[in-house]
Amino acid sequence: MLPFYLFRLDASGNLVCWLAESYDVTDDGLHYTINLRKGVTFHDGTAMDAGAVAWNLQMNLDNGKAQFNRVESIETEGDSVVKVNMSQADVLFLPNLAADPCGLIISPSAFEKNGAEWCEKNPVGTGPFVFQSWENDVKVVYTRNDNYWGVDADGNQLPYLDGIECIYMTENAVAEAALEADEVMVWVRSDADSTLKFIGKSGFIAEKAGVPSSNFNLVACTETDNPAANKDVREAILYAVNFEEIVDALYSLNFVATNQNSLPGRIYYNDKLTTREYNPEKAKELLANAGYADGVEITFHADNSSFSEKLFTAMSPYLEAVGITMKINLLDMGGYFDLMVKDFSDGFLLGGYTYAPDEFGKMYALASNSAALKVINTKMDDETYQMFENAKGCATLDEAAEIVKQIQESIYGTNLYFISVMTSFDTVISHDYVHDTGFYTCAGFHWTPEAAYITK
Amino acid sequence: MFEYISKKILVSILILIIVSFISFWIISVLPGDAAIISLGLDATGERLAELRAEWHLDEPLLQRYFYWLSGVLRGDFGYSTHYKATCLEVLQQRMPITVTLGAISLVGGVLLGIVFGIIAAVNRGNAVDTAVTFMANLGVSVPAFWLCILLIYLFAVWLHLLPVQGYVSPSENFGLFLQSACLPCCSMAWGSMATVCRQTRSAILETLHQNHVKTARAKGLRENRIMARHVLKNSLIPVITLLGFQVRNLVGGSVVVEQIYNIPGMGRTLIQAVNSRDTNMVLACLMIIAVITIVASLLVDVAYGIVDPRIRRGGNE
Repeated sequence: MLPFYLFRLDASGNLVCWLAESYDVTDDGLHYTINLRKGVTFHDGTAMDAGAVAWNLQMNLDNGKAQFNRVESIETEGDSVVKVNMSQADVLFLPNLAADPCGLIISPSAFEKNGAEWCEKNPVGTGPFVFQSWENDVKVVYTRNDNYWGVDADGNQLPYLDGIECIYMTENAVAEAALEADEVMVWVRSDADSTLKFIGKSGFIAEKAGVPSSNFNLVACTETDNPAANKDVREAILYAVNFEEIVDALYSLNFVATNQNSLPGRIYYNDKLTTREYNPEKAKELLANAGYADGVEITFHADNSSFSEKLFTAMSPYLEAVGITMKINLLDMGGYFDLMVKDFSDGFLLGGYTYAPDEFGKMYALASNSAALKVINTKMDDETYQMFENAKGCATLDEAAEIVKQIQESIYGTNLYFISVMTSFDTVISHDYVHDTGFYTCAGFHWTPEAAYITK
Repeated sequence: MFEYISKKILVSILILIIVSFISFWIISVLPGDAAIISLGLDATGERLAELRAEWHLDEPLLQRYFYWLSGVLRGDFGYSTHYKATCLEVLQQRMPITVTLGAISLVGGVLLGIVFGIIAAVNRGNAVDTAVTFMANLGVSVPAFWLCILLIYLFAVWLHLLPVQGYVSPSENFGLFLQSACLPCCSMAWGSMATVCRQTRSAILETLHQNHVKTARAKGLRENRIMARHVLKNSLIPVITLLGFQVRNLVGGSVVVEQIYNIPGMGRTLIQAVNSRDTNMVLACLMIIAVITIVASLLVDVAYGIVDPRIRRGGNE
């Protein structure tokens, strides 16, 4: 909503300049030069210049953000050039500047004047809409930024709308009703079932994002004596469950079944990954090899969302058919986080990796050896962990992609530490009189409705 | 009477202390780390440790309880980790909303319940009684969630008479307040109305067959006078009993109704606080709900004592 990032990622995951006008990186990946867009001001009227951007980047460095652990120093050159020197190359450095929490560029003057707590509740950025008010769990109100730097193709000042009000709704049925009653114009991140109802409905447009939002995996507990620690059992599950059928039947529009943490067409997708097609007989064979010919009970943990409940309910008969009894443990968010970091001691954990900044970035942050909070009792081999570091240390995305493809093979193919289930896409439902909302032209959190307009 | 009320107040205070400790203990033993929920899984160990220390999460249960209790006694419910403000600030904004809607629902539900109960009782056995009883039975059996959605579709989506969701303060715009409060209040009042209606009908029918009413009739008093002076007064005690329960039900019902109608009241706050393991806010909400329930029960007990002096004298006379 408030675009105060230096870069953004387009639908294919490519880096696009935003508050930055251009950038340059040395061949060894150790020195970045970021040229800033000129004439941009923050909502408090102060200049978005090299000093302001360097101050923001320095805050990340001073606060020990993991995304900045290879940054050595930050310098400015004149009013519009910021230079970042790295101790080692980091292919994720620029993508991280296009995502939360490191990519945000706020007004240093507002921060110094009002303090951190005030800034947390009153963001002062550079975007097309100015923050007006925020009521936690209720709504956020924005008004037009008359000093916004953007113009349309004809040179007209953006944005077109006078303001935007974002309302938080927790009940899907109520959100549907609000849309139908014309009380809200757009429903962002609509529920899958609701989206299906609105497809083809007169007066409404239901769209799927171009950018995936999360990849869901069954993470195996590999470090205790339990069935999931046995690779044959993990393989048997993959052979026993027809995930494609489940995803098509139950999730359709918002989801697509995937065998790895990426999708065809994306830079990190490994099209040569070892795959295992649905084959219950093979599953039974593998279970017998693992010593479970007479059946086995396996615990599946997840958060208590309808998504998890639906998936486990659908998986259950498939697994039962090969002799695996599912013991399902659904937890609220507090219990789920606790399980991840303290209590995970058997079976599988259903977890998602968001595409923030992209599939590799999140996987590195949560699953590599450098992850701040790793899932307990889940471990990969040293070679795979080393590949994570090698990929991050590449100077270019193309070099990194080749290594990430090997990581995909190790995690989802050869060793099967994780079972990839599906990838989700956000959806949006709007009235047909709302145009160019700007949703999903880039990653979901970069909503920039500066070109949105209404024909009512 | 003074001794009777004093004893009730002392018992209420004791109940509040027990409720506060049980609530504190339950929320403390629930799995979930408020620091991780607040900072996310990307947080560094150092930052998590800092936050846990800042929020006293690492201290023993009893120490934390007494720390919290001493704050509450000074009027400080602590800092809300979810709302990033003191609990008192949040509640000052949100409690009046729940109280306003709850009061309207309670008064409306009880008054209409009594009126419909009387109508059903005086029309016993005919079509009016059947219709009222049917609606009352429907009222007590329909889940609040379903009723809310039904009302939304009927009055907001199809008839376009009322808003689907949201809340406007009466001080901001009284007309819009009435519109925004209409469906939530109807949803909350419906169950109370149905319960009170059924209870009033039964109590009146029972009283109508008592000897003092027969005597009044034999004396030739008019039916209206008999109803007002002899039947209604004697039918009040079971209805008063229900009032205490209705207050409790309304506070509980506000959790569902506020969640559905998107109303930033205490019920919605409680849900958000539980989900985010915001211990201080959960406890603040629970204590307020407990106080409201206990005060309502206390008032009912006092009302008993006024309506029927035998109760405050321990039933000896």
